[in-house]
Amino acid sequence: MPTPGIANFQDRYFLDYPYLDGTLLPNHIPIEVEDSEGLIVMEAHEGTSVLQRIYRTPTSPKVWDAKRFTFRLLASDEDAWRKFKQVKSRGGWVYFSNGMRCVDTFPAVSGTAYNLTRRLANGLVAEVTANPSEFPTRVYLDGVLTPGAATVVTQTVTAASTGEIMVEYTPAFRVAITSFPESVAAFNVGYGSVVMTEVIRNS
Amino acid sequence: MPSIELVTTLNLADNGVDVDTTLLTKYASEAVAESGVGEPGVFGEGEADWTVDTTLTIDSTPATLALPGFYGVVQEAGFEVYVDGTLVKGIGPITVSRAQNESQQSFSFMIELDEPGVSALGDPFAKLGPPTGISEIDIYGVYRGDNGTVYRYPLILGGIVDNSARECAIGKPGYREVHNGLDKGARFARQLITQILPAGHGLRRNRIVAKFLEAAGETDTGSLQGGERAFKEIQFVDADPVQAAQEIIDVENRRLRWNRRGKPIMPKLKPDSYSSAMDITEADILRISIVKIDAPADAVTEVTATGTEQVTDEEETCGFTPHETTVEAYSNFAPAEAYYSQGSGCALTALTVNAIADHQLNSLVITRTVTYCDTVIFEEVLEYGYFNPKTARYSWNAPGDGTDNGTWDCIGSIPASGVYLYSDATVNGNEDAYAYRVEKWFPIRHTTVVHCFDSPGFSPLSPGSRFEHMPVTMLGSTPPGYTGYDNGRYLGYYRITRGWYAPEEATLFRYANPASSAWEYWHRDGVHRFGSGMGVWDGSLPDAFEVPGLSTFGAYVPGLNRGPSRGERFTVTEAEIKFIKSTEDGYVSGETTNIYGWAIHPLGNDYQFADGQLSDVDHEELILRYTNQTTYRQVSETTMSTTVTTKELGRSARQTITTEEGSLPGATYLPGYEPVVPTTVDGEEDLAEAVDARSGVSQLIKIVVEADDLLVSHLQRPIKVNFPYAESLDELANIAVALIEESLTFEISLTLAANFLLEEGSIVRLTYRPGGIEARYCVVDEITWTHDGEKTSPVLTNMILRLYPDG
Repeated sequence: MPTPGIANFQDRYFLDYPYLDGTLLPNHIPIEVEDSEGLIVMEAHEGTSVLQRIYRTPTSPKVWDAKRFTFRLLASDEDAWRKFKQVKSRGGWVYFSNGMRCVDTFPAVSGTAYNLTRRLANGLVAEVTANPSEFPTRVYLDGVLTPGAATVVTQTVTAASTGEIMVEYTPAFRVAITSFPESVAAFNVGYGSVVMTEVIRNS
Repeated sequence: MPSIELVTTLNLADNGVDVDTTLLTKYASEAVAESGVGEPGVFGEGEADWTVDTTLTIDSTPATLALPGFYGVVQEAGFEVYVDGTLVKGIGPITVSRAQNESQQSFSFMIELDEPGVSALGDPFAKLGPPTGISEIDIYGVYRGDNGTVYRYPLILGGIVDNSARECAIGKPGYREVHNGLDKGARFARQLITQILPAGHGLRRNRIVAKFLEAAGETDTGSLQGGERAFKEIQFVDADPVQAAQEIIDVENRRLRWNRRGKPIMPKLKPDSYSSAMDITEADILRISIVKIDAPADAVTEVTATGTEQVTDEEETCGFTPHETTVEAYSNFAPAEAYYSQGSGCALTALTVNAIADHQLNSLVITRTVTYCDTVIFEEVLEYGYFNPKTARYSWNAPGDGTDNGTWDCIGSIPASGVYLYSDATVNGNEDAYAYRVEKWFPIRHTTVVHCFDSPGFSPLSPGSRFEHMPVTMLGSTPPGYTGYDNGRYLGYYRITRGWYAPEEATLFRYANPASSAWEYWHRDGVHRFGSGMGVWDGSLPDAFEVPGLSTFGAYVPGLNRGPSRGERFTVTEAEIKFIKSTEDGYVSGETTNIYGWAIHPLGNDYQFADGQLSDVDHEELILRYTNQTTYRQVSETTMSTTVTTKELGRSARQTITTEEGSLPGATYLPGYEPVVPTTVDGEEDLAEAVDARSGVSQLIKIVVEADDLLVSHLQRPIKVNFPYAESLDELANIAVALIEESLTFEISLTLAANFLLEEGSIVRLTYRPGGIEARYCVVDEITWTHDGEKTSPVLTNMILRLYPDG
């Protein structure tokens, strides 16, 4: 039995080298990932809970959990350092993938097309494209793995069954670098504190 | 004018509202569903009419979604905004507010600018206003069920943005555009409409409201239901259709507004029947805001409601109605007393003055009118007071020697009166003398007016004239304006004024002086004059208007004492006669006003008066002094000319012609003779219930509703209200009870998770035990759906509910 841990999950949870807008970043960057949205829990006068999630579009997953990535970047790889600078200066969004897995859930009706929160890394990130079995896209119907319940292409999920369809996949996040302060701690020791905020798009 | 007054009592015992009278009518529940649309069944108009939208499927899923707390489900809720049918993306904070009492509902939403200066909705600088212009704004509340079905509930359909603002900030909140607007009703509210419905039209009020809105451009009026039938004349000129319609339906306690589907409705504030749309409990009411329960603070304990009821021809009893008002004035005073009495030898005898002021009547004014179906056809004003007529003080005593060397002899007495003077008098002085030692109670002035119409019984020459004293010959053989036909057109009036007057007499006459063989003016033997010098004519004076050729009119005056024969006497002082000439198609083409009064004849030089005027008549006569003749002529379709010709005694006519935009004045008619007025009542179906009735023919109605039970816990608070469009006592009674009930409602404010099934006017059963409420029904008075745009913030529904005493 393999050693428990995320590195030993059946489906890979890390890329060898994180991907940022066509550039591969240094390995083993520690990243903090925050959810920015989800279920809203309110308390009623009875003391019980009232649950609500915000409706977006008919084709959206039940929860749009836009991520926020923060990490400390050691100024050791000049290409990576330059890439972060360039992305931030462009003031737009780019694709980012570190192999992290995501799940989107849809109240699906057969024949209806839905949109994942973000696109598949497959087809964009070479490491994922080359190893689809290590970064699989799994489809569940009402909690049971049912590959035929939907087809998933890029960001579109077309339901072949009616019910709760859950898609587990390795995404490429659309991110904007919203903060990149630098510090030089000592001679030849520089750091950047990068904040990347996910940009949600419906397609 | 007869009036009807009823007193009834509102009994609040037994937790219910009951009116102890059989006058009150409870209206049957009425359907609000449009024909052929919606779910089967009949719904009370107070119910939420979400049940009739074919685009919505009301099953357990959305019902549970609306009350996630009660059903323990997860609610997925949000908004969609469409501009002219196109979904707008990127909506931020949004609020939709609806209220029973508002004719227009409001909304507000914000969108981020795509990039600096660019909005997805358009360019406000190009539109010179909100970028959406007059585009239709549709806002939906949306649920998505776990079965994947999306349920859209219209909150605003066909709305319009009435103002927008760009808000720009460096950093947060950044660059955005806020749009504020109103629902479909705003598209019609500021139009100007002119709507006239004749008395007796018989249309139901919902049809009247529909006509108002249709005139403003609203085509979808089939949703207006539930008005009572009305018969009173309605005239709105250049009026706001929504305000005008609301005035019409106020008496039914109804409110005009456009519902969530953009259709005009006019439900009652408090519905007649209660069919609860939803149960709300503590499990649904969020702690995110407090629950506030406002108790009634200003209970109305008594309502006096008044109005008028249209009288139809079948029941018309107005006919000729006399009216009389009397105004008495009291003050602390004493009638003036003379200080001296003049003897024939000119000596002044001092008198004892006994005047003692006392609080007593010093003025009495009696006003009488006669109306025919509210149109005044006769007016009379009679004024009484204390008065002392002036009388002659001197008389010329000619020498009889062919010269003008006579003397002014003092007059010692006059038949039926004396010669009295006040404190400033001197022997042989020029102070005026008076007839009585003490002022007497006399009629001071008497004015009568008769209005004539071109109809049998209402005109001098018409058969069966009701005015026996009419000066028939005044108008000549062919009076202007009188056609001999029964068309009811107004012909004009006669105004006769009487008061105290002393016609002047010439004191000199032209005499051939033998000595000089020349004409000279000599004093007239026996002529009387006042102390001030004016000659006093003592000939016969008319009690009535007695110019040559005219018969008498209104001769009788109660309490008349004509006064001294040589001095001021009570007589006709002025007569004004106005003739109005109308065309057959009902326009006034000319008006002539003649004023008769006392005057010195302007021609001749045989006599000379005190102020030097010459005349061939020796005293003033009651003659035509002034004429004003106005002629109207239509010059073109849009312009008319007015020619005014005036002629005064002794002066030639003067004519003024002006031309300006306009048309001939409309003729005035006797009630019942009004020409057919163009109205919007079109089609036989509309007039199926019409009855014959006349404009303004109505009777006063009044009802007093007392809620004595309230006095145990409330101070007396009576109110008086008038409902000009009430049709009956039943309606007044109903609205009076409704006003009391409205003042007794509790207001409950609470917050729910997104609830798109309720709307203003919906009925809910409310259980909120912490606040002591277990209500069978509450009415949603105001409801607001809102989301602040933050990703972690919920979609909320804030409501104000009204809990009635029987709830």
